[in-house]
Amino acid sequence: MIRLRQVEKIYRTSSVETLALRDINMEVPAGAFLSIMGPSGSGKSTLLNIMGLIDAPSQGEVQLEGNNVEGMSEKEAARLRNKMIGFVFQSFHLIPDLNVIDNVELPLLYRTMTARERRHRAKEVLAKVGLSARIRHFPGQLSGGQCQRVAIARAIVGAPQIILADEPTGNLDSAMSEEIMSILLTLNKEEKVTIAVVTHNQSIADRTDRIIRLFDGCQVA
Amino acid sequence: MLKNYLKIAIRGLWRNKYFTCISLFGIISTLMVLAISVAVMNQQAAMGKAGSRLSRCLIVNRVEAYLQRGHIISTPSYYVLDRYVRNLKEPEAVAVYSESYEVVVYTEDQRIPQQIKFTDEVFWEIAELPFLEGVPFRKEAVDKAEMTAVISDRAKQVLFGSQPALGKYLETSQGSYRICGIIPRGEIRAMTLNADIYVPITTAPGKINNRELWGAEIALVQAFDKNQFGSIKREFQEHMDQLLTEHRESHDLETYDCFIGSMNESIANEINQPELVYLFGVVGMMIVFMLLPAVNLTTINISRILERAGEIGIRKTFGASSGVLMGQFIIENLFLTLIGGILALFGSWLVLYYVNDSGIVPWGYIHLDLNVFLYSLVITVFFGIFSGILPSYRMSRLHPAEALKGVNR
Repeated sequence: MIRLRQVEKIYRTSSVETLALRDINMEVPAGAFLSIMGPSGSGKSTLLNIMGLIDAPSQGEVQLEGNNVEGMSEKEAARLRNKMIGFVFQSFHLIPDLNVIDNVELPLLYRTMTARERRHRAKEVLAKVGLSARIRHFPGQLSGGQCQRVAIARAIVGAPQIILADEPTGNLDSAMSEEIMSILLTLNKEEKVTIAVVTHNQSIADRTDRIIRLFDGCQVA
Repeated sequence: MLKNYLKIAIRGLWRNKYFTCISLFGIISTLMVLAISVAVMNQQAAMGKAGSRLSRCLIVNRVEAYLQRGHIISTPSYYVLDRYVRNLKEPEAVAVYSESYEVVVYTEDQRIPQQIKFTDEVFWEIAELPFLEGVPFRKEAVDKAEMTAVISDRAKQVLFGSQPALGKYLETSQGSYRICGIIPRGEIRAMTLNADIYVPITTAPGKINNRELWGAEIALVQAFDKNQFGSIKREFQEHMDQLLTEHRESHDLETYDCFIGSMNESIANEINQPELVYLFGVVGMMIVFMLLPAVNLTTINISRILERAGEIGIRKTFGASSGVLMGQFIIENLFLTLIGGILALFGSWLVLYYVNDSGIVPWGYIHLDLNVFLYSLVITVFFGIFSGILPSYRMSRLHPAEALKGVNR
């Protein structure tokens, strides 16, 4: 489903070059649940961003469903992200000026759908993450766990084949972390969604099918 | 999608009240100045508009004479205009009227100063003023020196309030006049025609019997068309030469130059009046100063939009293209500008109401009419797009991964 070959990422400023990823080769088959581990600054989030087409490699090849994404226009990449990938972030990344249901609807705004269809679909996924009673609340009125559930609802509202989660439990206590992990595991098991999770937590990584370890931008396992 | 953008815009504006106030202030003041300027320009354009009688008029309103004992600059007298201008053969019509004077009108318990003008009956034909009530005084009334008067709607309001005025008497320091007509002050197209009260010129014997060559009267000389101006001026000059010949000895004249010029130029020159110079000066300065808020607003918009880098990152991550995001931010900006536009139009209306009511513009009302509204709307839309397009473009270039780093929650 996702294939990376000899991927390298270098961040350049006028005076400094930082090598974030070096010679990454990996394949994520459809339906897999993958975790990416490594110390801070090892390139985990960069790798996830490249897998999710929100960042481009400096060198190497990224394939999504067999299609090379190199040379893809910004508009095509946006369309592909919208259709195939859902994102979950450590700090939720909800829009504070929109209420829960409007936040969840966001990916559907960029599809051809009626407002009624969007609303219906958003309500469905909010029910799935147990937030039907909070649809009019704003992010600032919710707990961290609830915000993350909203973020998961937003990630799955467009029925993507892949979910990329960057430390989804990093800001949550253990009970809430468990809640979020169960949702992700259910999505993987029941709906065969391919999931890649960046985490520092070994116990979370242990529950995934495969662990990729990074150190100083290199894949060590 | 539009609803989503508007929700974001409304909540964003509400959340950043300080920014909203500053932005709205910038937009409102800029648009108010533009709307008022357009209204003033419209008023100027409406004066002597093509096809009106005034646009094919020449005006005789200045005399410069060198005497053996001195030098006089004045307006001509009724005698000069009656004897040497009214009998011109080339023009279609000639109206003679006085400058405006202050006259006191006595009501039951007040003495109210008003501006009075003495005119002949032709004045009404050339001025083409619509009558709200009644009719102008005719030739017969002028010939018989009937004590009859036309008043402006503003004078009616001041002197009679909401009571009917037609047929009532005006007790003035010039005598008692019966009101025969009421005109809208807002339709007066030139300062030279402006007054509160108009009475037959023959009711001022001092003017009629004055045999001096200088006084306080003016003539409007209406041509059949503008191409005739040259021949009228030549005939006029012949009459002035004749006047000089006839009065050189009796008035110790060395020269007697009576100027005739086009009414349109005269109207344009009216802006040299001190009040109007002041008004236009202020408007001009405000335009210059208001350009700064326009530029500032663009800068504020850039920083405001860049502050929303997080939202941009989220939207891009979930599938928004740069074009879609540009559209969103332009719509938000247009929304803010339209709110500012509506408030500015209301503010402009209030300012013009005050300006008109204060009488600082002596030749009538400046209207904030449909034309002005449409111009303002176009300006508003242009302003909204202009101040939103650059920040939107810069924002849309942000890379999603970079933009996401600006997100908090």
